[in-house]
Amino acid sequence: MECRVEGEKPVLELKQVSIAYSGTPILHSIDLTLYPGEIHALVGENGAGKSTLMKTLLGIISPDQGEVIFFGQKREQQSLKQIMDAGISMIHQELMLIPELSVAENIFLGRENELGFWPWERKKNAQLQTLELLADCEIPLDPSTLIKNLSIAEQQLVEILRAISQRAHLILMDEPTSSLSEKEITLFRRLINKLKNEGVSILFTSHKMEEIFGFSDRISVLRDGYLISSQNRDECTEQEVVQQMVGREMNQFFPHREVMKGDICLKVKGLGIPGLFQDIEFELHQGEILGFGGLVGAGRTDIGKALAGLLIPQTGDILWKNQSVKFKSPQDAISQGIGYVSEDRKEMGFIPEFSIQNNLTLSSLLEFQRWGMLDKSKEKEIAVGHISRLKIKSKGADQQVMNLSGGNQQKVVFGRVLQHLPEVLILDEPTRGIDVQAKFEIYTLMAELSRQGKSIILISSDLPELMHMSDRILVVSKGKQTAILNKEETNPAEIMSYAMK
Amino acid sequence: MNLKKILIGSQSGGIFLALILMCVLITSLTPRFLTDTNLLVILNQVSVNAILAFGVTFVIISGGIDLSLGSMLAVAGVVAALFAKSDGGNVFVALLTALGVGAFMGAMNGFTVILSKVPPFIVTLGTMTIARGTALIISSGRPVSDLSDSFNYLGNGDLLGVPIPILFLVGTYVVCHFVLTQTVFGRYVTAIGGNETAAWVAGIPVAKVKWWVYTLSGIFAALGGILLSARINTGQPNAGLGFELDAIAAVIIGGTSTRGGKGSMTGTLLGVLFIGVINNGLDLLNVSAYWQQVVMGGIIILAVVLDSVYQKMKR
Repeated sequence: MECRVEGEKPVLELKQVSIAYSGTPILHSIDLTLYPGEIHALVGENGAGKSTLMKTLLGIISPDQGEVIFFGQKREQQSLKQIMDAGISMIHQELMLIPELSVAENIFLGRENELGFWPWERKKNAQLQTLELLADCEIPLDPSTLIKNLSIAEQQLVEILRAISQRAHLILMDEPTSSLSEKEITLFRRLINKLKNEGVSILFTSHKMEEIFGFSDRISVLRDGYLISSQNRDECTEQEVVQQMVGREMNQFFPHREVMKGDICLKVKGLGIPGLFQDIEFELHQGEILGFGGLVGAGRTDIGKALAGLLIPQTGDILWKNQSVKFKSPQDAISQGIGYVSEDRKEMGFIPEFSIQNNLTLSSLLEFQRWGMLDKSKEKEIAVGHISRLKIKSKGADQQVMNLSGGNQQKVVFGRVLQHLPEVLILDEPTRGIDVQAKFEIYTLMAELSRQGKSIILISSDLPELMHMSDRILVVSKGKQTAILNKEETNPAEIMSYAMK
Repeated sequence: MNLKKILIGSQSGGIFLALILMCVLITSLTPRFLTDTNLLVILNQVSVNAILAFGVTFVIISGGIDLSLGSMLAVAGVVAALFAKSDGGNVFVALLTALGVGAFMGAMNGFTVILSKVPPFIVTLGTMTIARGTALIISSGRPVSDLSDSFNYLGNGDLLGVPIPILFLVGTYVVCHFVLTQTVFGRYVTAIGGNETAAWVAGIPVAKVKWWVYTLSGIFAALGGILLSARINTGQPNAGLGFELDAIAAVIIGGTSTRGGKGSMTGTLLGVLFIGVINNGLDLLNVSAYWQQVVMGGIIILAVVLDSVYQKMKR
């Protein structure tokens, strides 16, 4: 895999780069080199400085000390247009596509003048060139589809295509696969290899060990702003990398969990919403963790939403403690003891401008009411308790949630849900886009909750997570339930085969 | 008590500073500004705008807008006048009916916004015209006069030397500030403006809260209408033209985000006073009414620009 020729010129070099924001050092004299055709994984916990490093590479931030050298030339702070012209593309974790425009229009956004002079000429060329690109990469999409009609995963692929079409020499990707399912990851892998063969260098961040070791040639670990190591993939093990990231021994990724199945608390019969999913049937015991597996877009998220009152089922029954219930809103579900953590944290999880405290109490606010007034000292007390129990890293209960890292935001969402004392938790991709440490803490929390007799429905695209945390796995394919598998008796291959059925 | 905290710590610091500077400037230009009488005149003059602005602050914080304020004010003003005639009218009946009419109009705004999912800008633009027409219909297009003395007292009387409208201003400020900062309702309103979907998922009865917000706006507009009718001692179907813009301007000058999710009643109060002080100052300086409008618009833009610069500097 090492195709490096001795003496070959690096695409990019960082020399002793240091950066500080308003006095707080973020990066400490980083040295990093990237060669043509190299796939470089940048790993580290949230807050380790990855985003800052990416922005420095991109040229949005100028280093306080040291220099960034791109193709032998020192880089200064630049506009995005200049950066693009220089041959660097960035794929953000939060997608930067325009929903009302088509796939083709998005791919050529800002570069329309390359497509000809007349509007119709541009339109035709955009369409043709996109078709070519799609065929080339074997991605089954229609160039004229509007972005808003695509799934998040498909949108991610469009972002990558855009970077490819820009003929970039260096592509930076922030968590490129966080919303892709196994099948799309295969597509993604093909794209990466294609780029690699064309000599494009890629630097990506990821929290998934499979990808870090599956895709990359080199792995660099960042911790608290220091570059801890930069090694060839073959020279290190997963265990080592995780250890370097967290800076301490981490015996196992998933906490040990004793299964204590209680009575059946939730029974679902023939549940369906036309066009989304149908005939979903399962029973959920107290203390059980039931996994929902399947490809992205198979309908798992919608089933979760229907159970939490976000969608109203058209057919079938939900029996909650032997009583048929119909949730018309999330409020109904919450009042019955059903907690929901959405996959879309930013859109559905929290109020960004609210403090940690106000977010934590939001779902149970009526309990903090006394004589028509909010008891803010009680709120504070509860918030401080959650902050320490969930290990939310913050400046205090008054900090705005939008200023927290992804993992800590997720913990705030968990805290809010736990505060309304649910008996069943529906967790949709609870560890997406959060760092290893926070992931482990969330797994531990799940184990503890199930030990307390709470039931959990875990919707996850992360197979190892699904396999380790669930007692049983319900597999969904194209809106239909294809199997319920016992954890002990199944394996990833079997789950995947049911998922693609 | 703690000037530094007000200036630096709160969102309203910028506008507070601007208000002080404006007062200093006008005082240096004319000795007639800084007198007890004049300050009371200012407060009295801004009271109607203040009450409208407090109501619409809830709407704007929830992420909506209400353009029908001025027209609702006119309807309620006319209704109040019709029930407060000097021959056999009753002030309490007049008050309750007018407030009820305001609540009804606000509630209809709320229903339409929630059920139709049409942006509130459009809905209330429509009801602005409907309400204006209604005011003209019920008054047959003529001012309603010959009102009872006790109704007149509401607009022109005083209690222990303080004009009644100022008492209403202070009272509504205290209530609104309390509701916004100390109650579940206030928290819900702010949450909805911050992220409506997340608020819904968190179990907040979004539709109900939004309905209340528009209803409150109607009630406050009606209260404004009652006070205005009482002050001019007539129910004017053409009263309150453009008042919604003054109220919204005050809210925005006061630092409430037009996108919702952030804002304060204190800011709104300061915004109202800022506009009032400028109007008063220009009057005292004998600036022509035409020029007043030009200067006013310019100062509003300047105030908001300065405030945003100030907020950035603080960070």
